[in-house]
Amino acid sequence: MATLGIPVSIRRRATVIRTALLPLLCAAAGVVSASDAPMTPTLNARVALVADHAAVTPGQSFKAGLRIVHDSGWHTYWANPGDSGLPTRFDWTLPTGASAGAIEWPLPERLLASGLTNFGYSDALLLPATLRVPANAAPGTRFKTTLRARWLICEEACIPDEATLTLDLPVQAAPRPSRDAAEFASTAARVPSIVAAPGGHSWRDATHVATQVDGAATLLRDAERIEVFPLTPQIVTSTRIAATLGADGALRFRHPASEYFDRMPERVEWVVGAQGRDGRWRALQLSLPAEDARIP
Amino acid sequence: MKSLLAAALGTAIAVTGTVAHAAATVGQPAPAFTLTDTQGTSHSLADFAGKTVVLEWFNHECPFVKKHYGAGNMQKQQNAATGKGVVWLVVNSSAPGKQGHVNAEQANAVLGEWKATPTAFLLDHDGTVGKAYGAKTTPHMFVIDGAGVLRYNGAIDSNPSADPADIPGATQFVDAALGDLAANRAVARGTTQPYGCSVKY
Repeated sequence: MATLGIPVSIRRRATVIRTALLPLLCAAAGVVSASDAPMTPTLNARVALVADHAAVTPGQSFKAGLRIVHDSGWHTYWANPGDSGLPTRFDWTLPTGASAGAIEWPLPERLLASGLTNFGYSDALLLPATLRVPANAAPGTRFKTTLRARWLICEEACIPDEATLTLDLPVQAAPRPSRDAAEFASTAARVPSIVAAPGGHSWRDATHVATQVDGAATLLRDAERIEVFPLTPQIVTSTRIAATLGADGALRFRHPASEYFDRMPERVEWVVGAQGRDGRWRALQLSLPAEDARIP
Repeated sequence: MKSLLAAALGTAIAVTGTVAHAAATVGQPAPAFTLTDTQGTSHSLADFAGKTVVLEWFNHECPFVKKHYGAGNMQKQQNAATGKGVVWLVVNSSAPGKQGHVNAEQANAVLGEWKATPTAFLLDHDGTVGKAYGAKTTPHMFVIDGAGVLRYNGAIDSNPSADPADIPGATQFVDAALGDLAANRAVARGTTQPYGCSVKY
């Protein structure tokens, strides 16, 4: 019967590996990362809670986030995980008067496995959030916060895992960036900017959902490659979306409706990534009014 | 008007040509099947004409399946449904060598360990029935009415998580669909997005 309790044996195997590699991983952590934050070994990944500041000031906003270094072949998920999987979740325990925003999801990649398409991340990932130091925090004290992060990590099989990590920064009269600031800056470039009141619509036809984004040319100038992701689930299938920037400056895409399409919500949210000639990605988040059918 | 729209936009739209994976569709006749259960008995969908049938895709090694069995949620729903004359069929489509693959003896041992009492546990090791239904995840739930029409396709509940603590606050979609059918109402939420592990075809 031992073979039947395999969820347990998977965990046990992973734990054995984790234990065996622990000294090695700890020794390697300082070499792998420029950060001073120690990497915590978890099941098939290493994680750390890092910040873009080494010292913070009263009332300031700064970025803190979960660094996940996935083992080769393993991945975690975006806000919309696609055909299976789960988004990573953050629960912060904060000092009185402090606040934390939601996860600022960088552009995901499409992950193909077992005939399914998922949206997520492999290799090294930083998931940032914006934290605010209380205005009445006194210089000379510490800003201490705890993050409980929960995620699902998958290769072909999936394992739910979590870590509770602490960030402890000095409060000073002047802020001081950390060694991780550059990584936060490069991640921020891949976090979609929310486009205020974009012109356009998404609408359902017999088999597909079509979208037109007006005036997209200025937003997507110099794009060599465009990737579109549905942030709203249950709208379209997860397969790659072919989008075309028209001569009129509108971005258009029409993609098969999700098998689990139920009805159009009032708005559909899309994330559009554009890779420029310099190879860099920019990302936009669009909330478009949606219609069950559209008469041109 | 649709064709006008298509013509108007046709030059600008890059049609992907992607065809959605075939799947059972709510409101359409459910795909017929014949599978053998863990007692060696053959079951066809047609055998259950006149009865409501629930199909539950299953992989005992999947954390999402463990979530619902570990908390007793799935067993409770199985008992409640079969107590009202509903046929509840657990289906295992894990291929040999893949996660969650069980032979009849192993499947019966899992059911015993988890104190689960579905009507039958069906072995679909070549994945034929799973693919005919478009079963994507474990769990993935389907409800078929007495006339053989698919009435529900989707998740077990409304909270995609692997945490049993989320079950009490979630809407149990299968339970709701069975309630609608028993009351001769249209199923309010017939299609939801299933969540869980991929089916290991």
